Amino acid sequence: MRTSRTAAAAALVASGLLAVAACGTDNNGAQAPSGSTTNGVATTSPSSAAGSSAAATGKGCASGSLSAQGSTFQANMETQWSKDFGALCSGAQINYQGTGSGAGIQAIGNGTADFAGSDVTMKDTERSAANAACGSDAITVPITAGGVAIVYNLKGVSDLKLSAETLAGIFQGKITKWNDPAIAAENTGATLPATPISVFYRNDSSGTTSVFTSFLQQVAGSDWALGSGKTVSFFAAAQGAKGSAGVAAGVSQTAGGITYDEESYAKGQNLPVAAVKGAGSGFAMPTTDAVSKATGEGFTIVGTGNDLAGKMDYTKMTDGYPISTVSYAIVCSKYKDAAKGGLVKSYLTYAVTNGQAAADRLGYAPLPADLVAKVQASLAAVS
Amino acid sequence: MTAPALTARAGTSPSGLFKVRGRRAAANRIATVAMYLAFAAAVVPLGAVVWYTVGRGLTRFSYRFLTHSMAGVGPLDAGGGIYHAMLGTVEQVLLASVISVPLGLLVAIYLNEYGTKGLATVVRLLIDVMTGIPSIVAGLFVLAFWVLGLHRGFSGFAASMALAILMLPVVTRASEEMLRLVPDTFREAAYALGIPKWRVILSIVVPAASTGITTGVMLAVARVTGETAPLLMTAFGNNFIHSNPFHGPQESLPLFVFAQAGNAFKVNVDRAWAAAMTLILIVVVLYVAARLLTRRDAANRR
Amino acid sequence: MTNSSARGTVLEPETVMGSPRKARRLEPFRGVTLGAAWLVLLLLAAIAIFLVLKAIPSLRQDNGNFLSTKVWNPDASPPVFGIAVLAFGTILSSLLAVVMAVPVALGVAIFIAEYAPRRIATWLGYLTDMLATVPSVVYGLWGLIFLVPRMQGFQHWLATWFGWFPLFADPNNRTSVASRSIFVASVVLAIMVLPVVAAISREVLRQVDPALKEAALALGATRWEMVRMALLPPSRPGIIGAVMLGLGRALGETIAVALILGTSFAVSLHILQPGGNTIAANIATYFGEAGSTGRSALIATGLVLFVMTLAVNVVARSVIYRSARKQGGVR
Repeated sequence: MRTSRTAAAAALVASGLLAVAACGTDNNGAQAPSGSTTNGVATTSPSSAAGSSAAATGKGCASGSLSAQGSTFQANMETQWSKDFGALCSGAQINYQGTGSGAGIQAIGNGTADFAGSDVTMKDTERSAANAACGSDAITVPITAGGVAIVYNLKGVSDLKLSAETLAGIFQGKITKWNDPAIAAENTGATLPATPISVFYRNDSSGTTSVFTSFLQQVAGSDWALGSGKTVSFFAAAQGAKGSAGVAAGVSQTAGGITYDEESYAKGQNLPVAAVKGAGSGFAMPTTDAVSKATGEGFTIVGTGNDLAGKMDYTKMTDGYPISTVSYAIVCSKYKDAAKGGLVKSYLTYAVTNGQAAADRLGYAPLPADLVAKVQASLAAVS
Repeated sequence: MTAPALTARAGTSPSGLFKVRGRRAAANRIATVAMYLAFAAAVVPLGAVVWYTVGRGLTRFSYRFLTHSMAGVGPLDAGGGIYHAMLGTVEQVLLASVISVPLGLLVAIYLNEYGTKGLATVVRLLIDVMTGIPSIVAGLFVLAFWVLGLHRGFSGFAASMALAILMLPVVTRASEEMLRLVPDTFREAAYALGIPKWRVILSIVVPAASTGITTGVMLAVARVTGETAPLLMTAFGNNFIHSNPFHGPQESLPLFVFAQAGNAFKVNVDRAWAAAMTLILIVVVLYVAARLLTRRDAANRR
Repeated sequence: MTNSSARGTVLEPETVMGSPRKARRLEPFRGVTLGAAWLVLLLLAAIAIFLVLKAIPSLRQDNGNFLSTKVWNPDASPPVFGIAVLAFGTILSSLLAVVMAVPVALGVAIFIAEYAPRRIATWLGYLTDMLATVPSVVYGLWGLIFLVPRMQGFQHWLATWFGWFPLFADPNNRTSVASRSIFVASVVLAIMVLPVVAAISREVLRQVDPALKEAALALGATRWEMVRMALLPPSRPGIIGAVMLGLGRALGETIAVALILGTSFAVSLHILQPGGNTIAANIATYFGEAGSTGRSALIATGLVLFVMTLAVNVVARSVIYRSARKQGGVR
């Protein structure tokens, strides 16, 4: 009696599980409104971008799966590339998780990631760990560029202007209210409420933090006393949140909130970004052109050979958006698994060539053409 | 269990005692109101959680949502589904159960039927200690030992190990409890017939306790299905359907909810609600099944 | 209760067949279960030992006092980190959650046991049990999306009218705008812990001898007096145990706090302000980017958390055991 009923129940569960196992698919290609009305951000179907590069279809494709992690700054681009590359090359699965530049660098040093995304270059200890895990030299190549936007949430204000010195004051907790004279001086004509400023910072090890604090250190000089790096001790009243998405969400929920974040996250949350004055004479918004221009001005390669690690000099960004940066991929130059190496090469080559077309729409900037050529050359040597 | 006639007397009043009774009656009435208020205070937030989750979840819940993964979904796209997450959860929980249930049952049998004073006490102590292990510490252990220490990398199996560490003490204790409830008369009757001890245990004691053990296991499974923290550092997450749990990162339902909630764009939050609703559904189904089993068993015993 | 053999009072084959040792040799199954017991023993011991061994290197290298340092920089050179903020935040948020949840949970349990109409009382009981199994990530998501925006007004009201009370002080008037505070995180924890405490308390109340209740009523007690005199006192140890279990669950909760709290490494009693951190949320945030010293430090904090939940469980267990012994109950 009981056994037959238990058997029946077990059979039901088993068939349910089998049904679950049988009927799923990875094919999300035929989705109808490809983000057309989300958040008011008009997005065109990316299949047109992929279609126009019909010459690359099939060629340069590799199959297999990659597990990568790192910078949340570039995460939106990685998701887009993963989608487009997967559409081009069926059989290729690129799994990129945004965990923060620091975690990405740790992962490639541990061997738990096939490549890492990072907004900053590796330190010597990190580099030797990565070399050991790879079994070959780990090289750093830029794959996209973007602006670190100052995202804010202030009722009635949508065209804020902030200079580096004012930013230094805000992010050190010296300027505590939005109607502070320092802010008002740069925003004549705007009615600034007396709301307290709620600063959000990245509480994980973040390349974006490193970029922003380096900017403040180089441009605001003695006004900025907290140093720079992937983790910085902000003042006690500042709130930490995890990931580029986390700080943007925090600001969107907090009236008077402000943070530094990659521009696409501000777009995704429908939040305004400030025009920033850095080393140049005027205030600039993080448009694609401004970021491209600034990257061209400030980026220099310091790596040798195939390693294209560079440094950003924010004092040179006088014409474009002053807090622009490239974002890198850290790859092994020779993979222990040749198939993986082929897939990494194929995917990242796609990313820096055809993949750059998606940058503008998403809130990033394409790399300058000569840099792309260098990256392609470095990637060609990856195996 | 009220006695209306008795409490009603509290309201009536022979003169000298009226004030006391009045105060007592007032206290009684206040307490009744307080109990109803407490109930309301509990129902409102808990109901809000369930109502809101189901309400928001239903907007994205569909057959398509259940059968697609997050492969090829752009950063601002609204598509995608949780198939890969459900598959991952099923595989991880199944593996965790395969590891912990037989082991837990065998240990419970040992503790209850064969146990010697020294070993049984120590094992019971350790099991009790491990009942309290925070789930994130279990995850840390698997991360440090298996994922990084042995260089095995992220996998569904690593997640299963962390979940098994969490399930084992619960399953062992529940099974031991149920075995202890089986009356000795069953065993004595069997021994009187000359059946060897191991046969008695396997054919008579365990089946008699089986419903209770199944209930305990299902409740442990329900609890472990919703664990997120250890999965962050063992299964890691994957946008694609990954059916091999022994190698390579895998997604899981609670991990999916957490990641989408963290991503914070509207398209992600909508998916998070639908996935959360699915999670509640699965846990409720498990719980209801466990309850039905107990009721049927109780009815059978009568 | 255990003798040399678990079922010592029963006539077993060993006794029947004569030499116990000879009978035992005939039972490979016993060997299997014995092996399982040893396996579990060794596994669990190995886990504990592994964690302790892994935690020690960071503690040795810590340049600050592990117990009192507030900052968290285990991967810097030299490493400086401490558990002050984390332990404080963990204990504060859990205590707040329990303080908020227990009165309501008790009320619900008593309501279901005594005040609700009998027909729906059983269903309400099942409902509370079911809610106790809802995963914490659901509560975290709901707290983040639904509760955080809506708590601003309430927190501001609390700060305005009760700001003289140190817990609710708001020196910089931040509650008018910010709501990712320890208080909101504690409220979510309280909602999570509520069904657990209510379900267990209800079980405990159900097991009170009806004769006690009837006796109180027969002596002319009102329903509330019956509850106060006959229902709660014998249940008190069990209820305390339930509260401790809820506390244990709140201590170990990771996801809700990680999603909701605006973290900072500061120790402050101003629960309406954002800031603070908990051990579990810290581990969830840092494990990915931690180097080997960082991981070791995280394991050390995890062990501290383990000890906390262990202490709570031990107290709960002993309280329940003592009460069961007094009542001659099953356990």
